[in-house]
Amino acid sequence: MLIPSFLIVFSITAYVLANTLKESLGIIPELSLNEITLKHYVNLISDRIFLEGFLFSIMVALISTTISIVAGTYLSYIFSRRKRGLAAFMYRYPILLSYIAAAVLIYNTFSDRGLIYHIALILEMDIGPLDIIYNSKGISVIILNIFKGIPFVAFLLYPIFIKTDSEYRETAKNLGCTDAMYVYKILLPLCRHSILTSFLVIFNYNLFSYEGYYFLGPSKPISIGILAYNSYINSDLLYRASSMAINFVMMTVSIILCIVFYKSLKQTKKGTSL
Amino acid sequence: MKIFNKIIFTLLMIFLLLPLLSMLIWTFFSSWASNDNLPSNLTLKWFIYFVNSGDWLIGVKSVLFSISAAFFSLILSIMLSRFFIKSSFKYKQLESMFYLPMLLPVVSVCIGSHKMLLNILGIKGSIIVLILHIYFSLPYAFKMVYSFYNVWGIEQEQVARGLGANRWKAFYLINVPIYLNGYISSFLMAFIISYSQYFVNFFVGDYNSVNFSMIMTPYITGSDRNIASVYIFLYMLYGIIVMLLCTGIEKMYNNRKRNERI
Repeated sequence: MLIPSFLIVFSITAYVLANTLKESLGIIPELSLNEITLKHYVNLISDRIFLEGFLFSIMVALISTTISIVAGTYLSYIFSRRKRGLAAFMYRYPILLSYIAAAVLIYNTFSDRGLIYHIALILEMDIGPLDIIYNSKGISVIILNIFKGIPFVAFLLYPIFIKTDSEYRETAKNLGCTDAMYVYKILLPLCRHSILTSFLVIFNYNLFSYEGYYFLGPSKPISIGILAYNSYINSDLLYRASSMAINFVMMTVSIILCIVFYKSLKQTKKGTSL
Repeated sequence: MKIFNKIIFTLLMIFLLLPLLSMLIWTFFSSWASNDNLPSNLTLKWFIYFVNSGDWLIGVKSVLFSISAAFFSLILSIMLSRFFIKSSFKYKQLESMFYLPMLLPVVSVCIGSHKMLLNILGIKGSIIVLILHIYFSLPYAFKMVYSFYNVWGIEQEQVARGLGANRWKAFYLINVPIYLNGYISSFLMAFIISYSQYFVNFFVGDYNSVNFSMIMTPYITGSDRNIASVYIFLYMLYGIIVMLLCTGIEKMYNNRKRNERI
């Protein structure tokens, strides 16, 4: 029962980790590189492009994940309060889209001659040239990540809100709880587990994603996912080792994040019952 | 406070629905001059282009491919959850390992495993792509199926086995009716994950594994927004058709069961 999926998941994961570590240390027999060196890591630390890209990716991922978590929680709370209409069905459509399709929609809407521009013309406002797409601060990537992230979070939290709302609301009201206190003291702690999990998943994806930055992001500072890919397909094969070093850094970051979140989840789980 | 809530809600919904509106506009209208109030020139010529260029076949192929990947990951996740629900406590630590593909970056998994997959499987690109698709969509399917198993348990099936049903009959007559809802939803989740995958096909696939997302990319990088909108429209249409089919199958099955009971 366990063996086929174990084979697929474990073999690929273990091989990826081992191979990346090996090649990043400079052992690539196909290119007749046989000595263990740490120089690729040292190069990375002193490389300004890498450090800038890393900081840029972390900033973009942090901002977009925070906004999408807050807005998604808010949206699912609102939807759990009212009855199901067309809007409650429509907001989920970005889940179906791939990141590329979502990138095109964002481009069509927010670009220089996009929908926003036309709407502003109809309303007779003068908004000037829009500087959103290919912005060097990564605004378009943030918008794309939020656009994909909000429905995901809302979709995950909606069943929990529906379930808890009917159970606890009346009791809390009876005992003299105001609306705001009910949300902060009861509802949010109950779904803390799901919020943290979705934060971890979305943050990890946004940090190292490729498509969003490739289609909408700036070329400087370059994002870390694109940097790894570019140095892997570089025609000078000696760049492979440094690409693998970047890869290994990416994987260690995501695994460390997993462990930290796992520990914090275990601590929070003791207090609550969901 | 209520007005404040309403304003934020409308802003969020506008933010989510504006891109859909832009897609619809540029799917059906070819131009929108800046001194006009409304878009003009209603055409369907890009739909005709989509049919004539043979891209509809690639779309159907990619849907079928994703269905097979989702089907495999559904079967694997059913097997996994049955193992974990039956097994003793010491194996339960393994469970968190199966969530790892959800968290590892796609780029680094593809780059890292590129050499091994090429070495083992030679140039049979579509098998490699299928394996990687299963690898990425398995954790989502597994999480859903396992949560359903945690709620309902497996005791009824064991009772059926005790009363003399063989393994297949117990699964088909007891397990499937209970869990069909969960199976369908996890199948759809795995389908969506596999259907919207771009980097895997782009990086390790050969000419056979061209994806719906991949045939869009030339028009996107060339900023041809009409064709790109049409392709996204059809992309959503194909996905919605698969979803409707799945829910239709579920409804048909449930109706048949109800009629049998009466």
